[in-house]
Amino acid sequence: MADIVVMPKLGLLMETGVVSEWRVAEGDPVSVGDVIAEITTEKITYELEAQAEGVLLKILLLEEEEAAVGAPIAVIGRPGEDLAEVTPAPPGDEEPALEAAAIATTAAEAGGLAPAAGGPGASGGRIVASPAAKKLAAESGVDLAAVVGTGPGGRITLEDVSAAASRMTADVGAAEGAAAERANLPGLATPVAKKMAAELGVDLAGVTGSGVSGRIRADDVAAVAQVSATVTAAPTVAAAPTPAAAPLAAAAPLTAATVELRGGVAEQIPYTGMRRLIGEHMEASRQLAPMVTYHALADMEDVRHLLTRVNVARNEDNKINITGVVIKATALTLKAMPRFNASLDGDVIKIWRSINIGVAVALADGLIVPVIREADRKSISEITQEVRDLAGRARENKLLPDEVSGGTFTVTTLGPYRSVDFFNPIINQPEAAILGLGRMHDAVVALDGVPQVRAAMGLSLTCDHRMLDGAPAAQFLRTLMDYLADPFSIFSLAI
Amino acid sequence: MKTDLAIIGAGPGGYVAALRAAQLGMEVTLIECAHLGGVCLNRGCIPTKAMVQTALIAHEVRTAGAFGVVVDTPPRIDYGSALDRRDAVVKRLRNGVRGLLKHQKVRVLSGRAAFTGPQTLIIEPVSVDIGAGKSAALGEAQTLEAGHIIVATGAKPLTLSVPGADHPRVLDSDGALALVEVPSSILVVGAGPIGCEWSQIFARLGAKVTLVEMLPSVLPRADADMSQELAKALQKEGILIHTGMSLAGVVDLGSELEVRLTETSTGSATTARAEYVLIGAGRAPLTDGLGLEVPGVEVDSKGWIATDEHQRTNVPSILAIGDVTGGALLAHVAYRQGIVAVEALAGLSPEPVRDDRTPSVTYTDPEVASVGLTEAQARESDPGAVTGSFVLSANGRAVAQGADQGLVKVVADSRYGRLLGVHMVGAHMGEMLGEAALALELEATLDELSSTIRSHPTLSEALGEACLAAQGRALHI
Repeated sequence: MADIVVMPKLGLLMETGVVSEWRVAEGDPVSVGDVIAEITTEKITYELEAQAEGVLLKILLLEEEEAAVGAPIAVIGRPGEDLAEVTPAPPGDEEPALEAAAIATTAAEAGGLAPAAGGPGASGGRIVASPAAKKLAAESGVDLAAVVGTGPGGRITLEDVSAAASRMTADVGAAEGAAAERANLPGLATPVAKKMAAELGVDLAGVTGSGVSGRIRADDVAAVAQVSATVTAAPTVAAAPTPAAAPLAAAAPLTAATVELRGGVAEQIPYTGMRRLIGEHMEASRQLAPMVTYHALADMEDVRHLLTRVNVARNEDNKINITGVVIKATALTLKAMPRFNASLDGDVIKIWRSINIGVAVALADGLIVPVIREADRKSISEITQEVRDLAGRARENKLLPDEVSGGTFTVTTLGPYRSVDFFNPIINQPEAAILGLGRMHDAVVALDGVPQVRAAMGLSLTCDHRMLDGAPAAQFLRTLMDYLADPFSIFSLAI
Repeated sequence: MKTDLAIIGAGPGGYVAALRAAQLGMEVTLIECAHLGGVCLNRGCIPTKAMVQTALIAHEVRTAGAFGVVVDTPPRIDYGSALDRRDAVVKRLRNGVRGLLKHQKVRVLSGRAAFTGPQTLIIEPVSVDIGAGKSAALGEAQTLEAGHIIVATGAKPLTLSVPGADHPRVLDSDGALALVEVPSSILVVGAGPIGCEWSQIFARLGAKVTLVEMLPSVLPRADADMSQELAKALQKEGILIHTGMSLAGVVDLGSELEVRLTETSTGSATTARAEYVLIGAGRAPLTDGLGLEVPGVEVDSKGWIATDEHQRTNVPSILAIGDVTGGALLAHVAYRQGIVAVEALAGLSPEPVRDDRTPSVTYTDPEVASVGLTEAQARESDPGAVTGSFVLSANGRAVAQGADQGLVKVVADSRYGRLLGVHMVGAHMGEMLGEAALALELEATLDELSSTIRSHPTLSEALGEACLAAQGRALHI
């Protein structure tokens, strides 16, 4: 009996997920607990484990394709098992019936029992659809899993979806049927597009065609070249208030000459997935919020003493760290100054009841912000533990969406790299402010008129000037610095 | 009554939109106050082409001697028979449209529609029989409620506000079609496609023709080389051409009309005489009595309905296609706009109509066929744009046919040799235009066009040679 693997629901708000990578190929054996796929949602990447023993018989969702929670994405069963045996849905239940139809279809393809309707070129059985087809399917409510692709490799074309939509509403005419049987030509580029791509160093494989049947046209190549030019341009962060609607400067298009000056294109990194998500969030935040960053040097001498004193008696797993101390101090500061624990929503500023502090964690290519809930009610030890756990699971793609949602303030640290003191972090929307931490370092400071070497750390507080002016920002930093100057009080307080 | 989609006007835009919408599963109601097929089929392109053919045969019979076919008595024009044939052509095609609509189960209503709201129409009965077959013929006004409404009411000839323009022998294109005999002389105002076609028809049927154009050349929107070539051909057939002159007034002198003309550049006045005046200058949107103001449909300063690339107006439930939206007033533009409108409604992503890929043909002899940018337009954005021309006098088929007047010209960009425009003057060039339009659609460059093998001897070889010429390597000239 085959088992259907469905798109998991990884959080309360999750509606759809994308398979970013299949870790197991069709035909490979799988055991319970094996990671079979990497699932990406709006917020996280998650490793999906097999719940059944057997062979991955069929992949129903191609990499980078999206599916609704609960939709079948693969089938695990015995080698050679007939997929048509997979339980059909009870009659009268339309959606599962469509899913069953999809499985039956793929089974037919796999077993070679019957030719797929109008699909001489269909093979492989994965569900691939053109962008236009996906769009139409979404608009017309057609389940792509129930559509038989007529394009090469079983690719679902716009015509296929259009035909399916027509079948749903009306009797499809003969002409439409003929259109559905027409093979499309994905990946074809027009002569001008080819010449332009060669000149601009654009790889046509990475270009989505907007023409009939996905044909790549000159405009499509020009658009890709334009995007690469924009990405190459170094992003700048404004320290002064920026008008919310400031237009982005148009990037100069790449020309043959400028490509050549750069020695040609060495590598093309797709601006997709997490990279793009971060990019879009940062760009949106920059456009939305007039941001000002305030810099201050905090005295961390007593924090250093605290760490030494506490950690000497603890084993490696229980040691506390600077981030834990700063998050606790920040949580208490937020409690004292709730206007910083807020979001602007239309014509009201909403002050949040919980103090949930997001901690930016760097990943191999990108970053993720898991959230410490109610940080003001947790001890430094608890916070340190939790950050360690979340960061570890973040790097293993094991966070759940709820663990990266609901933040009210963010702390981001560049401390471990031991180079940066101050920077200008960009607010994690829709929060009111973000705190950046620099490296801990020895600084010579005047104390009671005497120069002394003390531990210090740069603080960079970026505030949304729509909600927070300079005076409260300066006050926030003062309060935070006072907590950091006397960390023993908050350590004992919270244990 | 209720319907998914109501379409006002059964011209090329309206009936094609109806057919496509029916294909996509919509329930369609098509409303027409005159004949199915609209101006194009009943009073425009089609009947004119029937007359063009009569004129062409008259011309060929007269020149048959050069081909060794001697006609001993001079041919006589039986205009009544020509008109009968023309009307039969129109009737046959109109029946074809009726059959197509019936086959797709489009409901056709005879009447005049007016908006009573963004999704409601009132349809008043009209006296004309539209030949709508079994579809409902209205006895009294009825209301129609529609999910979406497409306005496809077309355009009408523009009336010039000069003294004497309302004289019964001052005709518009409808009036020209209504003539029952060939005028002895006629002065045609406006040397656009309509003016040029009618000038040659009447000239070949025996009228003395004067053609007047306000701008400096005939077919002023065409590539300059094409205008020049056509002017030569028309003059050779005895048509008197006055460019740079506009109509100032018409005075009735009894059997003749005195036409007062003003030279556009100097303002100096001159006169000409003719039995009839035909005004083929400009068209205006046909929206009288439609009540566009009721739902608040936006129109521009000249009354054309404003739409987006998917033919949507500012009112979400109302779309507009074809001549009533202005721009290039061409039946095939209306066809495609109808398809775009309906497919967009169905949630498909149709390719919007692009002016720079819309072909157009003037059915003179020689024909003028164009698609894409003219040389002058191309130079505006690409000063180094290349061109190549090939004259038909160097083309074997053209010479053998005795139709060696004309040329083919291509315009391409300086960077990739991307084809930007093709302009042709010559016999049958309209039929060759499809290749050029396809090449533009597929973003072809001169390389593909010049390496395409064409049959010899055909006129189409001239296109390949023009592309070679643009690359500096023409072989046959």
